[in-house]
Amino acid sequence: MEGRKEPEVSRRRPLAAGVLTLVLLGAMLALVSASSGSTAKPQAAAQKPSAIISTGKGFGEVYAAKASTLKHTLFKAKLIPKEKIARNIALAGLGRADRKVNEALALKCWKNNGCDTGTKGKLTVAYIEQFGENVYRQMSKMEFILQALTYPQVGKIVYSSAHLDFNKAFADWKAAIAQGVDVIVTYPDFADAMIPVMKEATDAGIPVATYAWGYVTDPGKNYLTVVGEDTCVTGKTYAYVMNNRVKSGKIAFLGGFAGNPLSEGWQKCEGPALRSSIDVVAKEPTDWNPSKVQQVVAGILAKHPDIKGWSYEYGLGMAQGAYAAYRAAGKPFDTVLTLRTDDVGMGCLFNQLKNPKLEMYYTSSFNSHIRVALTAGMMKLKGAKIPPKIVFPIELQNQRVRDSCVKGYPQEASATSLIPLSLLKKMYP
Amino acid sequence: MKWSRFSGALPLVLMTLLIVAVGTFATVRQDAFLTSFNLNNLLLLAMPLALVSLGQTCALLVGGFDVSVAALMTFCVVVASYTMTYETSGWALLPGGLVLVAVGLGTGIFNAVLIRVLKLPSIIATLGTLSILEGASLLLRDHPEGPISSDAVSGLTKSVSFVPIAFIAVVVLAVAGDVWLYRTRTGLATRAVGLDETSSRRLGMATGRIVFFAFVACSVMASLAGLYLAAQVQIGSPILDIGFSLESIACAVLGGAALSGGKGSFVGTLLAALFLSLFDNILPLFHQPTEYSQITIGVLILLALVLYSAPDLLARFRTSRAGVGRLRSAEGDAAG
Repeated sequence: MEGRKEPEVSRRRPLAAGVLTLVLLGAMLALVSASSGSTAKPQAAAQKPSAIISTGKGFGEVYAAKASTLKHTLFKAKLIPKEKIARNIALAGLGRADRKVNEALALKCWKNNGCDTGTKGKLTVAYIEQFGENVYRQMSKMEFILQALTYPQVGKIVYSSAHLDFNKAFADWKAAIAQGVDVIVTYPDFADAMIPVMKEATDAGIPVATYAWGYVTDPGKNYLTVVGEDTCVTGKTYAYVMNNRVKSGKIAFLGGFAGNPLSEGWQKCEGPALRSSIDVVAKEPTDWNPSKVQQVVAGILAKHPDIKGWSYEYGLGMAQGAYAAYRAAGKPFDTVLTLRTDDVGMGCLFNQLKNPKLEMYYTSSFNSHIRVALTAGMMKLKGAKIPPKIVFPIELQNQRVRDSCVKGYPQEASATSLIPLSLLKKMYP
Repeated sequence: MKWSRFSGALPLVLMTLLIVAVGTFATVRQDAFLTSFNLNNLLLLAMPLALVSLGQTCALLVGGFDVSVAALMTFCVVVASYTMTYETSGWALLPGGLVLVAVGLGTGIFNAVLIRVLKLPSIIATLGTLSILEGASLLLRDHPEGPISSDAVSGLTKSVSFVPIAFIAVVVLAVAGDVWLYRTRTGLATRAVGLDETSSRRLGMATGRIVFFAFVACSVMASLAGLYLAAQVQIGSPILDIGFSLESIACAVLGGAALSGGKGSFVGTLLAALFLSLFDNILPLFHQPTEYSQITIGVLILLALVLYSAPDLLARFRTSRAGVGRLRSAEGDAAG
């Protein structure tokens, strides 16, 4: 990863450790399988030839991905699902990120909210959003398009956003079912309220996969599968950080739309895992909207000026909204942050502030999960048995150790996305 | 003079023409449109909007607005998850449904008291109610949970061919509403109160009672719409951030209601609700973004307001021109 700061200890690594690393690297190279046949284009952050992690092939997929690609998007190549079939799907999905696609077409498709791929393929894949109006979702849309373009059998890519209008969301789903799209990927902002349409699509034979732990009840029955990290583990990891860094005092939980599965997931597990000396003084939805973050944080700060930490998902929202609220209140940004995205803007703000009392811990944004969700759907069409949950392990990063302010990346972007940098720059010039 | 006689039918004609035009276009260009599956979906999706818009028409007829209807619908969905639980079936569902109507009745009385007794402007009063209901929904369910009885869902969505039985009932209700509005004394009184409350009071009409009932009817209709929304959602979800409040006002206006009160048509409102639902239905079929739907609704409302008030404006223009003509000829006679 460009711009990454190596921990202090690694610079003093003894010679023996270096030799051991070389031996391990050699062993990994021995496992390198033959090229998957794709015209792979290296990611911006991975300039060197890379090891490939491979577990076989089947259902039209090669279960293989470059270690560098996995490391780029998950922080570590080993952070892939443990369960065998889920691991295969993850490798197949993320491995496709290295295939060459027509970037101009992808950009056009992204701007026009869908397109004909020009392959004359018979399949139509749809990304149906209930809300798509922030950078995170727009990047996910591009990841979905790029992934769909790696399948020549996909002739049409469909995208819709209901702007959080429930009736429109239902209409979008019903239209997709009526037209008989072949695969649907979604993030269920309305959570279990989307079950009727998700189930209707599933009953109509359309594989429905959610990403970013868009969990609704009964994956495998009401819909094909949910892809993401175990948000309960995220919550417990957040609690671990708060217990060790805040130790005692007040913290607050911020979330997306009220009741959305992602926020609900980590919040319900962080609370009980906190020390009794830590008091959660607020649990507020922000709609993942920086201006609402500012509003909410300003309100909480006014009531609890001694607040010591914030757990949230959206890093950029924190950089734009929470920091503005602290400034407006005339308070230094002395706080502990646990975040679920690695937006460049937040990392760069952290570096710029040079505030020793500001601590930031974050996970990958996991936009690339949407690729795995689409691949799961495509594999289902080929008759594969898909597990109801495809769970990625997580690892929280300390901004002082791993810098998320990656040089050359747009401030809005997440540097762990698998969108080529050249394309990202065109999306956010 | 003749033109103004037909001005009342203008919204109905316009909405019918728009539905036919858009429907024909969709039929020709999109195979999936005229399928029984899609038409059934279209009518089922139109149900909550149609019901809430009919209620909103009552509020507009007396010169008010109710912006709390969407929050009331969401609240009803949440309440339904307690009163019409997954285990409930058959006649046991009736009390649960009646609770929703009671919620609508209570909200309507609350709004009406704020507006008639405390003399608050309807938009402010119902804005307050909206906030209370949103909070109450989140208090009862902080995330979607509590499946709603599948018996209730299948009962409410039961269809003959592609037409939901409930939709036929709504059509009958709208026609009966217009008959009441234009063929009965109470209907006339309601329109009179909307047109000029002071004069109506002087003429001995029970203006307070009429406005009171209009807002109660609006909320009760919203609770019925909530019942249908519950049949769609099938779970107690507090996060149905939906545009029904504005869309219901849009439907009433497109259906011929005047924002100043005293004018409106329940059939027109129903047609407008059908048209907006049709629009929501076909945009995704043509892979067009929903932004177009929002722009179209806005443009149509503005056009409708101009078009529907055109006969009155024309009549006023003619009267004033005739007056000027008479003045001029009088001046000419005096000069001669």
